[in-house]
Amino acid sequence: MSDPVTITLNGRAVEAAAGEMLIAVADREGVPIPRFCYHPKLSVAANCRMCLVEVEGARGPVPACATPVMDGMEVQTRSEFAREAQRATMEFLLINHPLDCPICDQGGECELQDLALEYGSDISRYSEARRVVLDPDLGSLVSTDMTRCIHCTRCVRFTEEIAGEQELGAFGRGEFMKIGTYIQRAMNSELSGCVIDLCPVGALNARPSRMSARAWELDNHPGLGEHDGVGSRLSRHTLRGRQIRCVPLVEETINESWLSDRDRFSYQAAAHPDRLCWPLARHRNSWVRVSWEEALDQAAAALAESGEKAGLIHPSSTVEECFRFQQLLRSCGARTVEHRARMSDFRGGRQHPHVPTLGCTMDQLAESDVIVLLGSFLRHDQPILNYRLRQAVNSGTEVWIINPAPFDWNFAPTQEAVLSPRIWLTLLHTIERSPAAAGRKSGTRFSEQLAQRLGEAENALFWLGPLALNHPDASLLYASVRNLCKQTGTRLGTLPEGANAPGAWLTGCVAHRGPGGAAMDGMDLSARIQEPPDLWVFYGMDPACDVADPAQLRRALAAARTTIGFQSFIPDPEHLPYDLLLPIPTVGERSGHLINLEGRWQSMTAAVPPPGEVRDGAEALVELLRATGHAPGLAGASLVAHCRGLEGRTVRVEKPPRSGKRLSDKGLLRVGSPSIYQQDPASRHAHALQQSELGRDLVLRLHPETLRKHGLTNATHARLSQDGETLELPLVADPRMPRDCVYLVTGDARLGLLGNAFGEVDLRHV
Amino acid sequence: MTRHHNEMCFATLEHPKPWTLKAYESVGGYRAWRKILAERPPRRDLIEQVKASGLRGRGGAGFPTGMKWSFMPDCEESYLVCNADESEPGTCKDRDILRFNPHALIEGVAIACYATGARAGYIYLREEFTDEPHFRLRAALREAYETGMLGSDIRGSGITINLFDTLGAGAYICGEETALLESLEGKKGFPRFKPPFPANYGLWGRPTTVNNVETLALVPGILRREPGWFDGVGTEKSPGTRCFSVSGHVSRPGNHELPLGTPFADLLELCGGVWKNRELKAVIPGGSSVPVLPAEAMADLNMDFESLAAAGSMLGSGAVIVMDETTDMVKVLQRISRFYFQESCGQCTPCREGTGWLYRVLTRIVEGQGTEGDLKILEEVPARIEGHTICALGDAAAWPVQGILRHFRGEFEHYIRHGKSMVGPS
Amino acid sequence: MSDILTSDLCDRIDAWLGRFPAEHRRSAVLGALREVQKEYGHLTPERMDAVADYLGLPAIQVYEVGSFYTGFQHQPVGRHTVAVCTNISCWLRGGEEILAHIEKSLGIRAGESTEDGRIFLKSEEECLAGCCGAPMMQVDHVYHENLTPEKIDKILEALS
Repeated sequence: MSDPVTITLNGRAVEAAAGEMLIAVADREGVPIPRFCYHPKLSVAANCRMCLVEVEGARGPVPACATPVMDGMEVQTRSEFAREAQRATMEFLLINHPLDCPICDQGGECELQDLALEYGSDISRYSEARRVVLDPDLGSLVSTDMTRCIHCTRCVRFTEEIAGEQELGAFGRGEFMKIGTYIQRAMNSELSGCVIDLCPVGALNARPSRMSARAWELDNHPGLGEHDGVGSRLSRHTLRGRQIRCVPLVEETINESWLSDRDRFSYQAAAHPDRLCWPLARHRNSWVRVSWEEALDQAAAALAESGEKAGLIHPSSTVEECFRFQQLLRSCGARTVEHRARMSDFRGGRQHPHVPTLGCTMDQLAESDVIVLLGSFLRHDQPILNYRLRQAVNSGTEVWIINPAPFDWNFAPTQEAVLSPRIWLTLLHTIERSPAAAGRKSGTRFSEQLAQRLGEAENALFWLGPLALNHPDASLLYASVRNLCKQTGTRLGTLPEGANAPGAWLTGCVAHRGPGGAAMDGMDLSARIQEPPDLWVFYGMDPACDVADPAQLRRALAAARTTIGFQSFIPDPEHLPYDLLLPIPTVGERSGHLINLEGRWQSMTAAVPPPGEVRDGAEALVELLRATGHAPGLAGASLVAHCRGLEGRTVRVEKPPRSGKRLSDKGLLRVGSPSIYQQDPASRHAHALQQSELGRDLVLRLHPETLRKHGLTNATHARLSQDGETLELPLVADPRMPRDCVYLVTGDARLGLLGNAFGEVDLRHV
Repeated sequence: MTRHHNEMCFATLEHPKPWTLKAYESVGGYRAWRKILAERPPRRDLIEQVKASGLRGRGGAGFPTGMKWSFMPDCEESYLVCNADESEPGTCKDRDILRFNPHALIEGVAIACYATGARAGYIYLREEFTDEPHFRLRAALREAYETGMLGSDIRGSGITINLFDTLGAGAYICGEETALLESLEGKKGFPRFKPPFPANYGLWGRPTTVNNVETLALVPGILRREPGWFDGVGTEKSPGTRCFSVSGHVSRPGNHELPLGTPFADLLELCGGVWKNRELKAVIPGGSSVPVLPAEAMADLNMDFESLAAAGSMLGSGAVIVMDETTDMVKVLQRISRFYFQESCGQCTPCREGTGWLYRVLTRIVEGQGTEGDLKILEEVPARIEGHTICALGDAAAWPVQGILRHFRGEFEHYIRHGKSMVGPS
Repeated sequence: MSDILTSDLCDRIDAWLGRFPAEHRRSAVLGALREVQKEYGHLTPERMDAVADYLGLPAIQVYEVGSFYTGFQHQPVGRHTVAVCTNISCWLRGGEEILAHIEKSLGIRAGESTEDGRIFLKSEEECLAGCCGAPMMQVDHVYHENLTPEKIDKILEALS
């Protein structure tokens, strides 16, 4: 921090740091200065000229956003001189701004409207024709009314500086300058909705909630992002029990003032026509509506009558739901309780620490010298975490990436190795054994350089992403990384899927550990699938999409007598043979706690009541527990206290396995993880997200040489077969792809029941 | 009749091929640079010499050149940029320097690079100079490299200076020094907010000096003459010579390099007086953005910084636009306002919104649709643009309105009351 | 190299790139766009994309530049560009009449091209720095000063 200086602000002596911008000092002191283009998170543009103030000795009014304070500076923000300058700007801004406030979504929360009240005139002296601007189509998330644009360029600067990919620009010049994309092109940033918050007028608005409510009618409900391990703070805006929209809340240590589109627009799932609104029982090939009492009786009877049982829960379920879920299953004798349904290697299950974390807080990311990311497209897996990582890169953190496919990063990785998952283990072993990791001389190979960097870095962090955690040899990869981290003093972090993976671990939704990490004689999911149980319970997850191998699970389900689903959406009866469906709340309707990947507990309360007869999930589980004749105990707050208490437990961490590679070297390997809007049932049912650019792509990415080998050089499409399922998909040639792999996302119902996300596939001509 | 006519930037004009190295050397060209290469004086000494000469920038603002150079810190990477984006309406002297004496510019840039510690110089020409001015500059650059005036370790001096020619793509605003830097960086010509000034944060964020063509072309002549010569020419506060582009209603429009302080009457006479034996009505004495002065104010005026300032205008770019008695001043203003409206970059609000407003009001008046209220708009809108914008284009759009309205208000009132002009055929 | 950026065009762009430090490829955008326009007559999004690709820039930054400077054309235009100065110094000496004469004799308005694709009459707002030779115009950047209708007719006729 530079030396402190004293300035006089409206006659009051104020301390500030030399070089700080005047507007920041005024904001801190609570002195209002009108502004449009200034935003504390964006570069200074000084283009709107609304923040002009009077500085003693200056030749004219100066913009407070671009004027650094100097000792002894005398500033007047409300003098006649300053206000005349501000009024002048307001007049210019209004001459071409349409006065369509009554039909503008921004009405009531418009910065221009608010300031016009104070500075504007009720009569316009501008008698010429007003500017009219054609609206670009930015896609399903952001609506445009560019005639209202005041050219502050906040949105342009956001895409370049925060989203990391300039998607919007200012074209042409002068009065005819237009903000847009120039060519017809939808925005494809995972943070695109933030431009809606940034736009000070009604030029950029939320398309899904366009014209659906007036700002002042809406009720605000603080809530949480329910899709990833960040736990973004947000506010759900509701009208008469309906979710209308969602905006970020400022939490500097988490999401700052941003929000991922997934968190912002997933509320639409709540109003999806396929919502499961009351319990349904299966009758032949259709559903019959039943009462909760009937449903609970049926479920309890099935639980009592069945032999082996297995329960899978989505890792975005709350702490309360997770605890009750495993309590129910285990009370009924189930040995398989799991939240990691996309995982297929459960060996060495007790080698993991009690609860997964990032290895540091998000605020500490920028303190890392080196961060290694193995197996994740973080931009899509955890958009806000990726933003925080990008900020760390901007402040000098090195990011080394190892992935099975080249991804479209919005920062420049220090090195990015695109390698077949078949050789990841070998690579890690090489790094482990490299003399460079022990601080000795290094060579030029990626492994040697990385080993050296990890060896010499004071503050290094190694992240295992979903593609590593769900790898067929995940346990061996984990063991190797754990050893490497120990050798080099590197912190180890994991990036599991879902909004509450730490909570699922803590409460014991893993086969081999009960609440608080108590050792359990469980049967892991992969063994369970080989030895199918009589009864399955699925909670908040789709067995066709949210599992490692949908085809294999489908076969295991066929052997079961009963399948019970706690769901928010009605599945296709053809698709999965549920016997009983119990309705649970979805996004914005849930109350409870989520633990983010920093280990931070956060609570949320339902913003709206769920529809129909939908019951709180944890309560429904308790009801069922009672119906099976077990005492739930731990009512209400005492459950949370109990779970918090579990955090302190010491858990024995076992030595990991070091051999037994399973991933075969034969054939063409399919590899992939869920695309951004296919990670959970709620995002799959959010209409606008599904319509957006990022929600649509379903392609096969291969190396051109691989295409040639399959005789597909000039083909646009190919037929991919795996485990009895065949799909026709478009091809994309990508020379950076490993030659023995085809990248294909997972989690998408359009993929039908393909086999393992890391399985061998067959590729043929259409 | 005039002392020191065309002695500096236009010194080679008498030569049959004035743009060649031979012509330039025949008038003493490259002597100053050779001396520097041989003696390697401390760069601050050169800055002191330029300071002592009293040279002020010839681009428009008239900032003391030596002082500008002295702001440059000693650092590894810094740049010298020559603003050859001559585009202030009425100004055409830089084009003639490029065409007829490009070596003076090259020598000036080389010296300026040395004096400011810059390793490289960029000469940014407006796109419209693509043909002759650019060709001549390129040929001269080639000659300068071939004869060992530029390059690495020039003549074994250990001095390395490279000069590069670049072109714009059509934008008046790029004549503004920070917009020019943005353009050199491959961006839109959006002026930067100052401070920081280019000497701290210039091209690619490095310390940079931006000088006009004429300013730099004067430097070799100043340094090769004895100290005191340059500041002995001109007036005390406006030392030296300057190029005047005299255009408009004169018999023989032309560029003339004359001592500052030359009476306007002499300049007018040099150009054959007002054409068609008409009376002088008004003069825009420093390029289209400076306030107009009526004939009576021009009569005894000397062409120097201080005299024009005292008369309520500016020397600006040295473009002297002469208008005779038949000139419709409302239409003059409409034409000038159209230009600033079209060339506003659009970045900041007052200029983006205000220039179009002014042009439309003036158009309405010219079309006979003006109202009394429009005069108030013409008074107030420029005042609301002036001093409120990021760069000086806002001022440039405001001053002509204020100037013409101040001196020729009657013509506006006539248009508004009678729907037509009070000058010309009725 | 691509279908759009031929090896010759790449060489010409490289010549602009050569003027700037290697890390500042963006600086060559204006030069690259001028070369592409010289080759094809006008810019299109595809051509700007090719430049963005070659220089390693987001396409949007190239579009911004392409749309800001008036030297860039985005529609097909005639082979020869005629730009008549009507700014203040030329305006005082009949620049508008010169423009009107050309419009009349070519049968097009400023901003349009002749049907035979021979001449593009640029809509010129800027002063072309030929004030002392007013009225003046540029034909393919070559200055023609002290114009009269007769002089203009000769110049235009000579254009192939």
